[in-house]
Amino acid sequence: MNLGRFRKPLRHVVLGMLVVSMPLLYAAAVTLDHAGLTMGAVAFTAAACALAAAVY
Amino acid sequence: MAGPDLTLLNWLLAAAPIALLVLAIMRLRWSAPRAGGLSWLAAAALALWVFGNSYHGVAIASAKGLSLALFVLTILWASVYMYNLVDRTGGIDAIGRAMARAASDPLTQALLIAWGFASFIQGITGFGVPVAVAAPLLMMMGFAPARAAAMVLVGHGWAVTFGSMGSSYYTIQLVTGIPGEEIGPHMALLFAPVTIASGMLVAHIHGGLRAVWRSLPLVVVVGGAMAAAMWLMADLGAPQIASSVPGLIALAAIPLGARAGLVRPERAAQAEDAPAVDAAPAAEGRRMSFHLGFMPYYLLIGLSVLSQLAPVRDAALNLSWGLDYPGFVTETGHVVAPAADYAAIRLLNHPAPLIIVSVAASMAMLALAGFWKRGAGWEAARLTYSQSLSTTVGVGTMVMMAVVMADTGLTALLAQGIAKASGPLFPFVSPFIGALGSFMTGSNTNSNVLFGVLQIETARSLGIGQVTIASMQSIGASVGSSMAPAKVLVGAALVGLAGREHVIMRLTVPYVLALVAIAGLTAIILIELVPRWTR
Repeated sequence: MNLGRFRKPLRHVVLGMLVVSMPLLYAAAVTLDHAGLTMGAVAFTAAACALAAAVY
Repeated sequence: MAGPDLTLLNWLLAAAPIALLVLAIMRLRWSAPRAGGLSWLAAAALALWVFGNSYHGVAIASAKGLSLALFVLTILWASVYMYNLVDRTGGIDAIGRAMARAASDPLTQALLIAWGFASFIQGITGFGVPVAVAAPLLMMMGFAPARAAAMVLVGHGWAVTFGSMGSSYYTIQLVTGIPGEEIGPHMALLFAPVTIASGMLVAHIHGGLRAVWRSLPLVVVVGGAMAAAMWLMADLGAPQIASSVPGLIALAAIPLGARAGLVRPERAAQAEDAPAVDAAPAAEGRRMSFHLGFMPYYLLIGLSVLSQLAPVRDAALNLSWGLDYPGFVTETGHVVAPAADYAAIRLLNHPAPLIIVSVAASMAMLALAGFWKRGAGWEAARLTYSQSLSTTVGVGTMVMMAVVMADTGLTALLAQGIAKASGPLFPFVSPFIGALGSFMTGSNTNSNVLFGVLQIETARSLGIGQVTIASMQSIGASVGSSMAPAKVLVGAALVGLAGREHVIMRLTVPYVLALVAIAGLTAIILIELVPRWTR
């Protein structure tokens, strides 16, 4: 995937996504214990990791 | 401990995320965030769709991984900021010049900082601080960045178990139920070959076999004294200082030994990489003194000792931030215990707040002494963010992967497979299992929690001394933590190699594996030749 000039700004986005992932995963799986939200939080974390693999 | 069935296919699948991580960093030379991101994806996919775990379990494990990463990263951010600020105000220059004067020979400097100073810091604080403090110092003294980081990583690995005021040591004692008076002195004696070999390997990283030969008398004499001090402290019931006291002995004995002729003179034609620090006094301008430049580190050491005192520790119990995670049982029956206050950041114990206080007090002193530069604080913060960005994402993804593997039973499956396949060679393999645990989690303590029971259960079934094997678990984990990506990334960020961690990894891993093999050989020789000594 050629991300060209977006590569550098996207690196900050990855960091932001990981920062959001932690409370998101915790809230979905522990605080609310909601199956759909938990699946969504795992998918969001997977997107952050996939983006990290693409832009770093 | 139930979990996925131990079959060859399951074992190979469980090994896939680690194999991918190692291959990506060591062979493909990918950056840590790239390799870490893909490894988490692989671990999560295997856990969900091959081993039948629930999204709930993977979500909790990933959140725990990010909690653990936050614990490590706050130390990294504070350490990098401290280094940048001290550098901007001229402190690193002052420290480098003074260290160069204390030991003029580069080989002695390498041993003093990477083997002595880093180990002393490990003794009192740990958690990656030795790498964060000592690696930039070596670089400032003129050593190549990758070698500086590798020397510190290899040089302080022996001090991890009894370091951080003995936290990992107490863990192996707790999880195995072996009394301290039994395991402490036994483990300290088994550490002796590793301690001495660490000094030799630091010399080898610096200047190859020639440097090992030159420093052999110094390393054997000082290393012997360090090993004896470690045993004595453990035997006297003071394991919490069984790393810091040997580290202090090294700090005093290495320059003295070098002056006494224990380092063979260097032939001019075979000069090693000579550091380029200018040790001459300043010809013009006002230069900072060593003690003022070193003030944040003095304060950090002082605060670290203070923070370990019982009243301060007790007070810190309530001043902390950590999340409570519920326990769960995976679909394969692997039990994950609930974790209260997981990876808690304690205000009076965690290195990050201590570093921040040290920096603030030191900067006030610098301002009073007239060395403060306007805008230095903001400039250091901006530099810290750009230096730590890649490392932060790398540590986050890799630690998440490690905890997902541990909580879904994949790590235990790996260790069971290794233990079962090794048979009579188990004493040799045992420290490698410990090293696997610390490689995965970046922590000697976590490795002991993960594998302590597995190790002694296997030892019991094979009729091998359980105290010896429990010791091997912690020794392997202690040394193995030096090649943990979380620790290597801290070193890489501080020596300016963020994004090129593979350079440090490729240099460090063979030396760390050699140290783990030395531990394993010690165990197998003792068990085979002196079985009455093993317990």
